[in-house]
Amino acid sequence: MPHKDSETISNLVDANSSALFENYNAPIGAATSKDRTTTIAAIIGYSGRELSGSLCITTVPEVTQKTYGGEAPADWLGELANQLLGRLKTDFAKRGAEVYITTPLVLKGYRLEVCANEEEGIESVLHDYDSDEGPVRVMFQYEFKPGAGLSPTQYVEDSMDVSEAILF
Amino acid sequence: MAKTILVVDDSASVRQQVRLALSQAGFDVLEAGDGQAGLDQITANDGIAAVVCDVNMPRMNGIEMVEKVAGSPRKGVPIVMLTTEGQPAMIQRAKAAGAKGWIVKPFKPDLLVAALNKLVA
Repeated sequence: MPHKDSETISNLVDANSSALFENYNAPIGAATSKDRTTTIAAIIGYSGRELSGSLCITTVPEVTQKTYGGEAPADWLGELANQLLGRLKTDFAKRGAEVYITTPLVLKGYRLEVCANEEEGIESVLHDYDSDEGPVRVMFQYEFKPGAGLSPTQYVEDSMDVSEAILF
Repeated sequence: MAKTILVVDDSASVRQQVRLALSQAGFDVLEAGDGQAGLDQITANDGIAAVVCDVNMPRMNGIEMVEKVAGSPRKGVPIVMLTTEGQPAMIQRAKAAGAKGWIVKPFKPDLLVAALNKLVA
């Protein structure tokens, strides 16, 4: 039986993925193309008292180049994964769950296809997208601690959103 | 004479993006790949006018680096955090440690340059 927050998490992953790629000038939409071959992947982990897991993005170099605005360094997709997880971290914090992020890992290959982990207690959100430059898959795995879950959204005073800047 | 800014981030991509933005604004740019390497450069080079620093990095994270700089003879060097993090508790910790600003990625180059111009003026 899915966790009570599975739909919320799926929606957050979807909304933040779309916003991130939009922000980097490579808008994505629900996948329609048949060719889902991806050749570059970034994986990043997180853990906290309420939940832990990982986030994985797979795509093709044309997408990373578009988002970077030119020839992308090898670790760029890792930075995108880091920024996507950072957005999710902020959303989780607004729902009472704090997580800590690891450093990302980038892999290259010929046909990289991630799939849901079906171990008991682990849930996966998997979203397939298309951009003009090629396919993007975002997989978010999570495992809640027993009895844990997200709280109703709270306003967090002084929380900062993406691209905001402040001098002290 | 151009002011020198040290960029501390474990992502080569981000260092490259920040370098581009700051170079176009007339700054000289140095790079370090983690907090320890950043601290080493700040300590060794008194020509560094300001620092742009990530939070989540291996070896030594950005807030630890700010705390170490605050306890060193180079404590006057302004440090701006550039990170995906936006939680108030972390921002307050950085502020208490001596950081002078906080910018959430993805950054707007004009905001970053404006912040640094204000800090190194």
